[in-house]
Amino acid sequence: MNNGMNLLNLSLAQTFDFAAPILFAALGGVMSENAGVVNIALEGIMRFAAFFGVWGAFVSKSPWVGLLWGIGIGIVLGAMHAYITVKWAGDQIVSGVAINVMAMGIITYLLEFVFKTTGYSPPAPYFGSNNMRIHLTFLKKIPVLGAFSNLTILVWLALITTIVVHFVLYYTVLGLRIRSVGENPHAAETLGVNVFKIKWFAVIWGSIFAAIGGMALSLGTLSSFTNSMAMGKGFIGLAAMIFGKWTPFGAFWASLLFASAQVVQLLLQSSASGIAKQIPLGFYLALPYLLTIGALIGVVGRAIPPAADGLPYKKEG
Amino acid sequence: MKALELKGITKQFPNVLANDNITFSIEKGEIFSIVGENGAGKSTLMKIVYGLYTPTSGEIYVFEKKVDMKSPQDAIKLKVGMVHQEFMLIPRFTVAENIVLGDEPHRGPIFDFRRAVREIKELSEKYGLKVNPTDKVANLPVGTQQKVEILKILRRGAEILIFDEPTAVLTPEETEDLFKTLLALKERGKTILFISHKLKEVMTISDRIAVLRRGKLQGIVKKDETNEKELAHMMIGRNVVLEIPKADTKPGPTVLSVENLTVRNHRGLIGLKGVSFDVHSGEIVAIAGVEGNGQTELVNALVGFTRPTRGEITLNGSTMKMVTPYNVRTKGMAYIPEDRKRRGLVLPFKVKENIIMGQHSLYPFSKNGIVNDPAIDKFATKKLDEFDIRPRNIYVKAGNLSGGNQQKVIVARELSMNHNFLLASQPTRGLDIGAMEFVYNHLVEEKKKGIAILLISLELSEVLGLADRILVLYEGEIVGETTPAETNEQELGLMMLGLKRKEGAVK
Amino acid sequence: MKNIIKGIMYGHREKYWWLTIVVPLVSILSALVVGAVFIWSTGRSPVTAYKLMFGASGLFPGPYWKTHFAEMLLASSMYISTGLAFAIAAKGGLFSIGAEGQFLVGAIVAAYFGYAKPFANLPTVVHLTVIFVMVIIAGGLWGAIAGWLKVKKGIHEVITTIMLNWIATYLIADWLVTGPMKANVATGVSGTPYITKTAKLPIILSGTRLNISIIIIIVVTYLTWFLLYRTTVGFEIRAMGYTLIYNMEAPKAAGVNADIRVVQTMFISGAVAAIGGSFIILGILFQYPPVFEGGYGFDGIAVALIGQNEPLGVFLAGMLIGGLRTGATAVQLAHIPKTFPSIIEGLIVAFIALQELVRYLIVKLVESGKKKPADKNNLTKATNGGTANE
Repeated sequence: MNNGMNLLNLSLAQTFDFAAPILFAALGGVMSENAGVVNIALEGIMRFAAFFGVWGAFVSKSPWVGLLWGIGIGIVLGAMHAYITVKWAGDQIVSGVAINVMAMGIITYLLEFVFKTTGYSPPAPYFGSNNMRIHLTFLKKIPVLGAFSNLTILVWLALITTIVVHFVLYYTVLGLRIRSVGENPHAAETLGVNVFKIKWFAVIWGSIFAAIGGMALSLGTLSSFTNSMAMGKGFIGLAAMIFGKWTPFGAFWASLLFASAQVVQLLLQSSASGIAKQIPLGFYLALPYLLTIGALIGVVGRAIPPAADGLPYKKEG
Repeated sequence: MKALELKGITKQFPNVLANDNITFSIEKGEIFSIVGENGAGKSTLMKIVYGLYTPTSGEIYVFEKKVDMKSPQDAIKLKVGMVHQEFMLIPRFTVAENIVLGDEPHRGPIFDFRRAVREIKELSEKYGLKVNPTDKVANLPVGTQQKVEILKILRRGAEILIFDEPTAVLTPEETEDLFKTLLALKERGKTILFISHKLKEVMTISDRIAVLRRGKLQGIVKKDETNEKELAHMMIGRNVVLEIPKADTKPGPTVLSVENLTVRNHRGLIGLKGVSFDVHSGEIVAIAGVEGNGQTELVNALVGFTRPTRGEITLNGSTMKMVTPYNVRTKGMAYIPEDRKRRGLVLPFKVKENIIMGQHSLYPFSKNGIVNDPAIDKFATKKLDEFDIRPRNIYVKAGNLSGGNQQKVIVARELSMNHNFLLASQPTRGLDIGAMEFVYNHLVEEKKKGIAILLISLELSEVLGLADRILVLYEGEIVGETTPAETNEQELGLMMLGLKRKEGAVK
Repeated sequence: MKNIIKGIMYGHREKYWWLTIVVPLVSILSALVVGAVFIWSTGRSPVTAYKLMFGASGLFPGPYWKTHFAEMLLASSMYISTGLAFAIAAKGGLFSIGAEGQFLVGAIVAAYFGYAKPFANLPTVVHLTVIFVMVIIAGGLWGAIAGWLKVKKGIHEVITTIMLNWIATYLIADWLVTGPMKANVATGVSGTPYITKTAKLPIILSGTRLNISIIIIIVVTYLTWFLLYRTTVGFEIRAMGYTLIYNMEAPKAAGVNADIRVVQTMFISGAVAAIGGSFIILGILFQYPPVFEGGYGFDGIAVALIGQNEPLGVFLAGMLIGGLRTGATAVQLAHIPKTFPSIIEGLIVAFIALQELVRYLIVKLVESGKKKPADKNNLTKATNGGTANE
């Protein structure tokens, strides 16, 4: 009995661990797409930040400095995406592809340049180490809540960010303006909303979230950077955002769902035999993507992106 | 006191001189109209006054102070507001959110929605513009959406209100409602600039009227000292009376038969309610009506863009289960759409490609799915001569042609298709007189050939001049059937406004 | 004849039509310059790096040119296939990111029919024909799913193609290759079994690995051009792509069945990408390995963008990227990681995304060269590609 409860709490905690990077990426998408800028560079930004975070932590011996480095590169990449797509009304997908392609090349390059290794970096101080975790021992024995007893600060940050983004988008003046820019930038412009400023703001914050998501991988669950690290997490984040209908809470539930698919797969692999174990790994791994397509088929007509999402905005005259 | 004064405003676009040295001034508390044909430069001028365009030269004075408007924000600060032709609304937002956007009531960074609702309620009562602040804009009728637009600019303290073709999308009642609002605003000392090409409306509402033609100011007249005819003469530059050739033909057998057709509009509401009528070979049946009374729904159903919820369409004897553009075309329909850039042409395609589109998979333009360029070139060259399309170059992109020549390409294409039914939906929209006459002549020629023609038009003169029978569409229903001989503009106008019915034998 | 030429020239009379060619070239040069700065900033010599990279790229004659040239063409044929796949969809107004998954589908299908028993002993011509037919069908269907979901359910193809990529990746790597298609452990092979001799693409340049894949891709490139510009289907596809912002209303009103064309376009796009996937199995790896180094699909997007979505442009861009990748191994001699070319590639795409800026700068340069006062309106017009929007 006790064992079962422990397993539940552990699995939940693991789900949160897996969900954090996806959730951050999804929140990054929510932020930028609500302002009308599609950002498929989330993937590349995560990869950049995962590496820069470890690099910073390695150099300074502090994960906090690493976090700042990662956020820094997130800002740089966000600014680049905004410069191309907002300032010059360039194609948002093309710009995203460019960042993703560069992420492959530059990070592999830097990995060899900085650490003289291929494939993975040496370990650095990280948020997953026991002394860096947030210990809430009193929760430990309680079912479900026990999952919160030993999480990393990045997981907590993900949960808090979800609430903050929700609050900002739906309860503040800024949020109203962000959404207005994503829905009808021309209308917003005529009412004195500075469309370009809002877009820059949203794209850069979106990139910062994605960057933290990348570090939730390298400085959260692992203590080092591996070359295959971000592989697909940014795109799952994108899927979670769509699944969650471009809302922070929606993205939160979708991320949990995707993460739990992963945990369930691990559980079945390690524990009980039975039919579930007969199902090949590939199906579990493909599950989040199948779910996304399934959900889109099911909810069509309701999951409508912001009206001006993806459209470059140019001033008249 | 002069509310607004323009001195020598000129706007030069790469190809066109949109405004040429325009000078006039408007008194405070005046309703001042600007009329002109499509492309006369009205909208450009208003966008300059609103800060959306920068004039090439000229000066603007607001309340007798010289101003430099670089953006709509500047205009707002100067108390100039504009209700755009296409509403600048966010459908997913509430009325209150739409109105306060950009100048939101707030406590710190937090948006105070309740105060916004309260403010809008007060504002809406003050000006007698009834709206519910918590409604989603997407669910509102067009007339109410326009009220939201007006409230938006009033809340910014607008003293000068620009209305760009505000009645184009309104039903007659909504138009009347709008005029009441305009007069009430005038009472409160607001200055109103009313842009339109509908002379009747302008004569109803204005104090003074300025006429624009091809970017030039033709003159300013007082409403009491002019009439529609004079205005029309100024607008067009010669007598309006278009020579529409007459041809008496005897209607032949039924070509198109529409039975009890019910169609939903893009908002999911019933836009066309159980309409039935026939069109015979060798006759022109005109659908008259104010825009937005079911014309779009009718056209979309006939062409196969929208699936009717009920009813039958029979073309050349076969009742179509599934109406698709492909089906109707193979059954002999030619179609001149109202929006040539959107639905008529592929703008980046060459003229020769546009002129065969729809027949491209037929011999001789292609064999076994492979394009036959020499045949296309030969055909296109012939059609360019025949329809006097300029420049005489089949390789020019359609997007680089003038509006009139674009329309000629469409007419040339549609009329050379194998057809015995022609659906002409506002075929002269936005054309100059010369091009209009061109279209009229071809419609009459078609009729002589025994083609059945359904003409959808907003212009009464066109309807009366061309049609053999007239069906009046009002709020999705046919409220009357008549012939040009039996009726006149006044009566048709009343029917179009739903004030008079005339139950002829509709079938 | 003279009139026709005059006519065609008139058709190109929009100002600055040559930007279509110059912009990619400027983008490539700019990327090389920025790439050089990057190498230099990490303390290495850009001159050496570029010398090594282009020397071994096979794009220019030099030592061991025959080998480099062969390797370049081998790599290029795959990049060209995924590039064409993207370009075909893009011409029809579809933004397909799906070449990656379709490439994998093509690869696994080629691997299967390359070793599977009933086909293994067929003569080469028959065996390869069977394989390619299956590859085209499977890749085409995989691509068509996205088209079908767009038409029937209104789901944007960017989303479905991304999802389908990962589904293909995982189902192939973590199911087929480790499960039903796994080679017999006793043979000591990991991954799928090796294909039979009859399934290998014939070599056309002795002493190298160069096989008929390059000939096949030349034919495919030509067929793509032919499809787009010489057939009625291509006519309709292009009409749809041009009217995307108007919801394809004009072609639809003319009787084009856009729904079917969308699915067909995605089928063709998927099939072309899958052909590229079969090349890597039938000409290079000869089996589907346990760890597959993908990325050809994503690079294909870059290739298509550099080639401006025109078949010939895609072909040349594919050669460029193929060359850079071939030269990549050589740059390791200068202690530069072999992923260096993807930095250049990413930079080229970034400059392509910035083409409004590139166009603006080029036009400004030209105008100031003419010593004419630069009229801002003229500039914006030229940068918009010169199509009149009344």
